[in-house]
Amino acid sequence: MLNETKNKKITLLQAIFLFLTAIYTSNIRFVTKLSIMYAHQAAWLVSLCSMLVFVPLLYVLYKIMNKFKGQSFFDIMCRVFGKTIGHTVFIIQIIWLFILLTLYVTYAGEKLVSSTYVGTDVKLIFFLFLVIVGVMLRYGLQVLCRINTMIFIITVSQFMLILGFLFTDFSAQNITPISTLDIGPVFSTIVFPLTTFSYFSFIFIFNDQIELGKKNKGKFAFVAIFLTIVNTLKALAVLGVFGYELAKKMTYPFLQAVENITVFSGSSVLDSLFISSWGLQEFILVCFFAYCICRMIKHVFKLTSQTPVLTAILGFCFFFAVCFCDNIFELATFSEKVVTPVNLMLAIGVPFVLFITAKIRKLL
Amino acid sequence: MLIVLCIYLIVSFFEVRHLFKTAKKKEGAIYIAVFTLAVSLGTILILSPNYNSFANFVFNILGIKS
Repeated sequence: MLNETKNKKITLLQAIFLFLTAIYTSNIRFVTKLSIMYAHQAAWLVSLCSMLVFVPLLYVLYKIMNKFKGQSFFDIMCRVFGKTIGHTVFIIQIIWLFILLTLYVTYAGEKLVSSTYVGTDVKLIFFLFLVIVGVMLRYGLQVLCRINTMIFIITVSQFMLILGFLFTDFSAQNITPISTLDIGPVFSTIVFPLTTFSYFSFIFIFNDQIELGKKNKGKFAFVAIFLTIVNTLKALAVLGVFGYELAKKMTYPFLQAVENITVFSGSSVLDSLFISSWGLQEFILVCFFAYCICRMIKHVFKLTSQTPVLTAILGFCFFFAVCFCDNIFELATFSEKVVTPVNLMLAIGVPFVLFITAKIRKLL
Repeated sequence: MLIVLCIYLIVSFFEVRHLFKTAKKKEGAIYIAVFTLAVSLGTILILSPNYNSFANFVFNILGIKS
């Protein structure tokens, strides 16, 4: 159970897998589309360039994690910033994570309604989705991570399979020419991958539940390398198949590229596999945020258990999801115009400020 | 919506009763606070179907064109 009396721990690698599965869908939905929209044929370079910010963030988090082993993000913030500022920042993060949780529940529902269950009331999907998340999270982080490891393997396997088929239609003309004129658009677009990559900071919310091995640098490097390769290949596949002019007009370019795959002149039905695994990844994403919120509330109010808060939060999330947006375009605008700056501030800005303050106060 | 609200009420009743029985008053208080927010929101949504979405509300505040 989610009860903290046992407080079972997970490994850093499991936490990393959780993060990678969680952001997989937002990368497909959000990063690929916006990168293509703003960086055009040079969109495949965006993820690589975003590492200029993400690698320093990983370094900062690595340093903080090693110094404050076994302490939660809340404890670390209170120690570095002091109680008042620590509490304030943490409560702002709880509110923001709740908005993100609702955003992803809404995305999950809208995607299922628009792709598979056309005509179904989206509220029913929200309800069923949140009930499953609620039941799952009652068994705790360890069980979630074990399930996630399987989902991660499925995700990587289907991604490689899909990529293999997509690259058969690849046209190199669609990703060229690249010139110095692309430097500006590429660097102004790196904020979009960073928006989702920055969720890595959120795994430190349950830092006290992560068991650190001796060699962690490699695992942090793995995150950077994995994200760069996967996102670059995703952008290359979509651009190579459609070209940027067509891809930027699509709602989900990667999904449409998968639907476009043909084997022996017939539909490959790979889109069914893709959508079902997409559902699993959305489930992990929602579980991840719901768990983070419950854990944060537990820390702030010094609760003994986070199980009851979970039911209350998910119930509130359902009603909030119902009134969150009117259509999918509003969601996309919200992600682009609101989520991006706030995420950069709270998930990248806060760790950097924490690191600098800890250095100044000689805590690091 | 009404069915979900009823299910939520029933589940919450048992949750809160269990919490107070096991002397977890703080958890119970937080549960009731979040529950009150959720039920209020749910009631508003049921009573006024022509509500403005949260995203629209944020766009209006920040002056973003949707």
